[in-house]
Amino acid sequence: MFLHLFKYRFLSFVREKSMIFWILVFPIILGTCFYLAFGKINEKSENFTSIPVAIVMETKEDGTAFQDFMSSLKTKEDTPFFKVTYTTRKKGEKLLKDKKVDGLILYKDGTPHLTITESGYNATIIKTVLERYIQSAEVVISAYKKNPAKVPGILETLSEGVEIKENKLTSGNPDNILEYFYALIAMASLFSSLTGRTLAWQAKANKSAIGMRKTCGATHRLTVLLADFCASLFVHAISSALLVTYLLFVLKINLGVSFLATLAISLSGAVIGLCVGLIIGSVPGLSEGTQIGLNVGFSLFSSFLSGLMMGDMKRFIEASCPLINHINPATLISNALYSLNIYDNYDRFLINIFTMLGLSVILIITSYFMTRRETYDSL
Amino acid sequence: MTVFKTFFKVARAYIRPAIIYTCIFLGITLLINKSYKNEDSSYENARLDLAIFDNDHSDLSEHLSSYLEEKHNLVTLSYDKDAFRDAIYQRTCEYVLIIPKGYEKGDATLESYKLPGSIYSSLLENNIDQYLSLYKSYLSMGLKPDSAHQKALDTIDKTVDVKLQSAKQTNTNNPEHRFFSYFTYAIISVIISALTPILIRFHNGDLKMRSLCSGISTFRRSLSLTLGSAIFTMIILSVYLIIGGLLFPDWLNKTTFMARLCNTFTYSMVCLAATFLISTLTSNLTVVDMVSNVVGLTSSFLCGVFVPAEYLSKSVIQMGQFLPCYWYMNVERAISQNSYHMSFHLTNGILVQWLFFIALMAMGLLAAKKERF
Repeated sequence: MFLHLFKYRFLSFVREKSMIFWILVFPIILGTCFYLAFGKINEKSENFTSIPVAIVMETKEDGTAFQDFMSSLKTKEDTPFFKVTYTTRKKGEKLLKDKKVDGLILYKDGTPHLTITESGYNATIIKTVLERYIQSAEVVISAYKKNPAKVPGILETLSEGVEIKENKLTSGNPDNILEYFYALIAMASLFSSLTGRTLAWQAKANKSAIGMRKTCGATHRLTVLLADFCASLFVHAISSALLVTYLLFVLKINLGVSFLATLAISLSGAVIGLCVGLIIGSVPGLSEGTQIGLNVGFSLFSSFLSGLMMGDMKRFIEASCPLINHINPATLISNALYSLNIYDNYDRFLINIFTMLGLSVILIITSYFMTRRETYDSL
Repeated sequence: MTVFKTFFKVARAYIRPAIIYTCIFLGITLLINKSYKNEDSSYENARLDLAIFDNDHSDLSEHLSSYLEEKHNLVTLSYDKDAFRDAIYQRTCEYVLIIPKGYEKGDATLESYKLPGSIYSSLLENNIDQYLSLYKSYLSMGLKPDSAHQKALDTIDKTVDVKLQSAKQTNTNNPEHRFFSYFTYAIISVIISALTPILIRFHNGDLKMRSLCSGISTFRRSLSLTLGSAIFTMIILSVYLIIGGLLFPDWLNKTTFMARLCNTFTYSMVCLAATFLISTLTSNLTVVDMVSNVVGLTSSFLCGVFVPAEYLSKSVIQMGQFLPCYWYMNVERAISQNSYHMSFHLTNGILVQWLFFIALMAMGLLAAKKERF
């Protein structure tokens, strides 16, 4: 009987073409949109690129030392620190005003003067480098006055540079943009709550004709619910598989987690979503529109708190109310994926998974008790 | 007028979901706004969040630690690689510096945990390099460690003269601007989610059949529905503007008040037209919510709402121009910058949005007219 019910529930899902279309297509559209929006973001925000500066030389003395200093500075990756444009004061001010350069350096009488339009990391770097120049010059002059013989040694110390050994943080992918994709996978999983609501709606005799037929039928309510639940989970498994395949193999995003692990975590989230939908659908006295509103509110708000729209939201919640991060299903899904990616051991992953399983058990039991043994005075 | 009055009778039945959606999306907008840090416009050196572990406990390491503590924000972490990973990945700490035992004697080198290629770590390493080169130089001149440290600090205090000049206003990180930016996501999601079920009632079932049997033409019926929907939309818009006015009363007094009002009104009308079209294409309420999410999130990500426009690639910006949200954001940015080009951006952006409204309404009316049994 279970298989019979499973088969026909699955067929009824498949025949609702608009629903199936959106369940399958919706996460893919969003995944593509994220990929397009975040494609270049790290290149433009975090990765170091040469800072454009304009230099105006208004000095009677020889400024070659300063010019050599500015053009010789490079990072460890051999990227020049600055993209230097030598120009006049008027043109330089225009470049600065039009934000074509991040700083205007006026080298006058052996001293550089800096003009900027906003504080920030680039302005700080330019200021730091210029101060380096001034400070190095002071040390050399001080050494020359005290003991000229020490000057070559000091020049060598000043130009030596400090060696800092960089330790690898993780063997996974540390790109923080992945948080958005994890939140997307979480949202796609939690959208199963809409299906859960439909199951509850169709199980209630006072809400739908099919609910009446099911209530009158001889099959045990638990068998019916279980079959419907499994069929819905199966449909969402296909949807999740499609989304993960699309992200991993078409968009070629390195989620840092294997396909099967991502699918398993996504399915755990789908179970939670289905149970929440069942609970919302079982609450008496709510209209269909209100139930759908609550469902959407749950999945969207949960995803929002896990960082779907704003990457820093999880950190903000952690600072203000950390309990939310420990029980929010979307955050649990996102953290499970993150811990598999970043950590070498499974401790944090297991904590997240067990919390999700615990939440699922509580929700399944609650939804079962809410849907069983309903009696009606009249229909 | 019958259809118009019936619209509000039907809307009354859907008032609870409308309130739920408005509260949810308003809540999201306000939470995002609250979680942002306001940037101070005055110039100052950027301070980084840094963790230091001094295992050497020598004069050099202690002096270096105290210098870095002054320049940056010290973060307390446990001496555990997992804690470092968490903190750096979540950006609560941008750099972890470990001074190993034997560093002063030259038996070991400094170690770090950081994000590869990050601009923040380059800045910090420059600070470390700057201090150590001065400290070692003064030591080699024959000074004692404490004196060398003090002399190094005095030399580091020699700053370059910095002038802060006003440029093109880029005051786009103020809370007002953020509120009106996230408004686009909220308003389109609420209007599609709350209004579509009401319109679907008119496009399906008994209500539709009775309307078709009546003497009212399809055009008049659609016009009445549009008018009713417009009033419904204005009520939702008013809620947002009132909340915006209560949170940020300054924007009510600014010269840009009318421009913002015009921009938000126009965009709401575009959302209404999109909703009208969607209501003719589907009758499944579950699908409506998915559509609202797709439309809302896609336009927000591609048009510079959730991801600032300066970080988007050119192709994405070009794609975004096909969405009305892009033109709304153009006008909103111009208003926020108070740019002298504002009148051009304002006219251009508002006109394009009205064109979107006309196009979407025309498609919706055509789809409504083509419904046949």
